[in-house]
Amino acid sequence: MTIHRFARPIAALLLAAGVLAASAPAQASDKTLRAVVNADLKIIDPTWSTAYVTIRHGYLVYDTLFALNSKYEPKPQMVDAYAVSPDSLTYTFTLRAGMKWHDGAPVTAADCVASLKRWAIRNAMGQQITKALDAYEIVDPLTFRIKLKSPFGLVLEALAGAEQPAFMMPQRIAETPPDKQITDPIGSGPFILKKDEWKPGNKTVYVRNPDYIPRKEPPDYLSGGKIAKLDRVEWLYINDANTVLAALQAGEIDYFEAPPLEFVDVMKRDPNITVLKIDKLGVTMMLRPNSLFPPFNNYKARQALLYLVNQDQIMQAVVGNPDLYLKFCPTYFMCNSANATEAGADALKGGPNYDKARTLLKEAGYNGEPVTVLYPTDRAQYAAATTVIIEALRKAGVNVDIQSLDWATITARRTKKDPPDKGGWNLFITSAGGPDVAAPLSNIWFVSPCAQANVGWACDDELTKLIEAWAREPDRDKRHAMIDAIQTRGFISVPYAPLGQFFQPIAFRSNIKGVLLSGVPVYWNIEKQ
Amino acid sequence: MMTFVLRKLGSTIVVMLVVAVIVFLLIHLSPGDPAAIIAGDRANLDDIAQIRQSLGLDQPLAYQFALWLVRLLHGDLGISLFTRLPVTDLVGQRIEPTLALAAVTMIFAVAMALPLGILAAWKVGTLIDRAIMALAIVAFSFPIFIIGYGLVYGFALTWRLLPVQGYTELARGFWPFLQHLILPGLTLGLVFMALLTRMTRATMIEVLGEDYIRTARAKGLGTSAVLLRHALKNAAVPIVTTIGTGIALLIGGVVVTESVFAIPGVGRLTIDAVTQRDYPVIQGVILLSSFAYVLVNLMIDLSYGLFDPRIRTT
Repeated sequence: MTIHRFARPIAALLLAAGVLAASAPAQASDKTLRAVVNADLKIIDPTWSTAYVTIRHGYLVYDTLFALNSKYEPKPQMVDAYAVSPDSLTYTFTLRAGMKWHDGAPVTAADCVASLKRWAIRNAMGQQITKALDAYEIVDPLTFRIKLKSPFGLVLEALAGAEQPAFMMPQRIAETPPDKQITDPIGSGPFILKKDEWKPGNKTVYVRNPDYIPRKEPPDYLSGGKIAKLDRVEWLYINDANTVLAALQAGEIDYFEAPPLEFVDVMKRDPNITVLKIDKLGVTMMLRPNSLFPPFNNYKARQALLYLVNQDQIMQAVVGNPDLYLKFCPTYFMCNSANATEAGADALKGGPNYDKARTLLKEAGYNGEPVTVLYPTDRAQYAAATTVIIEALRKAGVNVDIQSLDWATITARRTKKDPPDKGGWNLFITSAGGPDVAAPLSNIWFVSPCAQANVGWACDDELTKLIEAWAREPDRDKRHAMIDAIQTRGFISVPYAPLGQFFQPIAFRSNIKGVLLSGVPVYWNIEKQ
Repeated sequence: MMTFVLRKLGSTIVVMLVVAVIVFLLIHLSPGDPAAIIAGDRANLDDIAQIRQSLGLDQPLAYQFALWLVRLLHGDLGISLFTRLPVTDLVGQRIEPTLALAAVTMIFAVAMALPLGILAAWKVGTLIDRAIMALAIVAFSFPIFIIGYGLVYGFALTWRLLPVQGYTELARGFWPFLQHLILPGLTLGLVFMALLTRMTRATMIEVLGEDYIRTARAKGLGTSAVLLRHALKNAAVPIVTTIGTGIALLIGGVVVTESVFAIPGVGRLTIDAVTQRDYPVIQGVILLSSFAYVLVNLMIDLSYGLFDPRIRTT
């Protein structure tokens, strides 16, 4: 009998299929967390780059002198004890004993002073400390002082800053010239970067620091005990959100730091996935005018922008899901924060008023000249908000010149001080979030020091004086009482128009426990069951 | 033969020099500022200016080009503006996944396309021929990402036979390595299969009309001997050219497939570098890709002699 000539190939295929089915994709160990974060980690120097992913990296490998608790109060972290002189000009800090760098060397006061000096070069709050500074003084290996020559009431808040933290690093690394990136990721944090396994564009790997000594208090927001319960954290760079969702559903990844908001309902329906809002402050979107050129070099034209804003409509376009945004948030300092206030926000209340906007623009001298709006083609949320704003501008009689550009080009163009019709700009949309936006001095889009301001160059000496007075005040309650006046002035000079506040949840497999409500995603306290 | 190879390599150097100049000018003159991207959204102009200066991006273009060319002549492709890692290291990390994907894709494509193309040519004008051509058109028309998502939905999410994404190095085991390449290889392979099927069919039809085929049939040779030993060998040259061109394209990186399946290949490296304006990486990858392209074309030219003795002796 002749064996059918196709029997052998068919049998081989069936055998191969059986082997494939039996060989399930390899599972990582139970103490390895596979996470997809919001961007690829390319820069590991958190004083060189303000990119969110670099700051996230910093939270893994570094520690800070102070950290915020859930009431946004600065609490000692690396510091064991501290004292403030009665005149609030001298701050004495004593470090916790036994802390070590990842290379085994002890953490000393000299390391911390060098780290503060490097951090203060670029950080807005650090620059204010430097302005008020008399000297750093090292008292003994674990004790140092910050001596001020003039009052600055936010020293502890600055050291506990959440979005651009004062990460501590060894002196030899901190003394890298400020025009050079650090390349050695040695810190004293709960995790260690495995540089030999770091493949930019693919994977970043951290392992637990066995020498880390956590504080005894329970974790609270970013403060308290940072107990690393995972042996290994892998950051995978997967730039296709659909692929990440599928991988999360299949259990190939455990943690999705920034899922597109339109995926939230799909993930919530999956019993193996938990969706969690870890940040009660969220993100504020803002319409930033260019104060160098007409019409927005006139405060009335900037006020007109407030009358174009329908936050509910904008957030619907940007977010969609009403569970993920606030319908109305009339503050510059983040709703749900201690500084949230409605003072001065009348222009935002009652919805858009295009006639009022038109009147204000006319009073500002606007005569129909093109207003250049930067439209980002590759940032879906910003593009959605920009579309709504363009429509509102047109309703107010503005002649809109839309410049559709990718975000990389926009980040370059918005730094140009050229006239809008010669490569410059009039308006663009951006966003920011967290406790730094909730305070006048650390909100880099709110401060208005003219030439020293962030792009847009908001300029208001009166506002600047109010903020400086607030920053000088050492008493927290007295500072809080000054917020209304600052915001009222803000709504007069309008450094930006607040477009709404929304929340970016994270998603993770349901066997992941201990995820903290920390504002910034952190990996201590997390375990896999 | 040696003269031919040396002449080809000589022209490669000229081609790469021209590519180097064009790429350098294109990326430096196009809008975008890597210093601003590095500094991040919260940096001010002074920070950005300092970064620009430290990276040498404030130097005149001619100076930057001369510096880069001198380094290139020493085999140094420069350092990534972002990661500060050598471009050669970054590309080196991506070579294995890129070559592996290219190989698996071409194996799938050739294994499917050759039999289908031969069958279509043999049964030209029949329902079988039309069905195969329809299949080729459909496979070619579907966007790659839809094919990819469809395969992921079926094989990974529904039947749990294969992983959704990722790449495992060969050193970590052959089966994990292969498992991660099956779906992306099939996704891309279907597109190349379509192209190759049509090319195979067209050249086979032409060859099957030749006198020597009629002679082979008249001698009493069986169908498979006529098709495979006589017709296919004579139709091989254009088919090999298409395969070679496909391999060269694959080595340059396939962004969509690499993105859908999270394969850390050259395509993703290139697109990330372009969106971030990482000039040394863009320049390095494009130069290496053009070199690979020329090399593959050279190997295709040399392979013609294997199939056609007439080419071998000229």
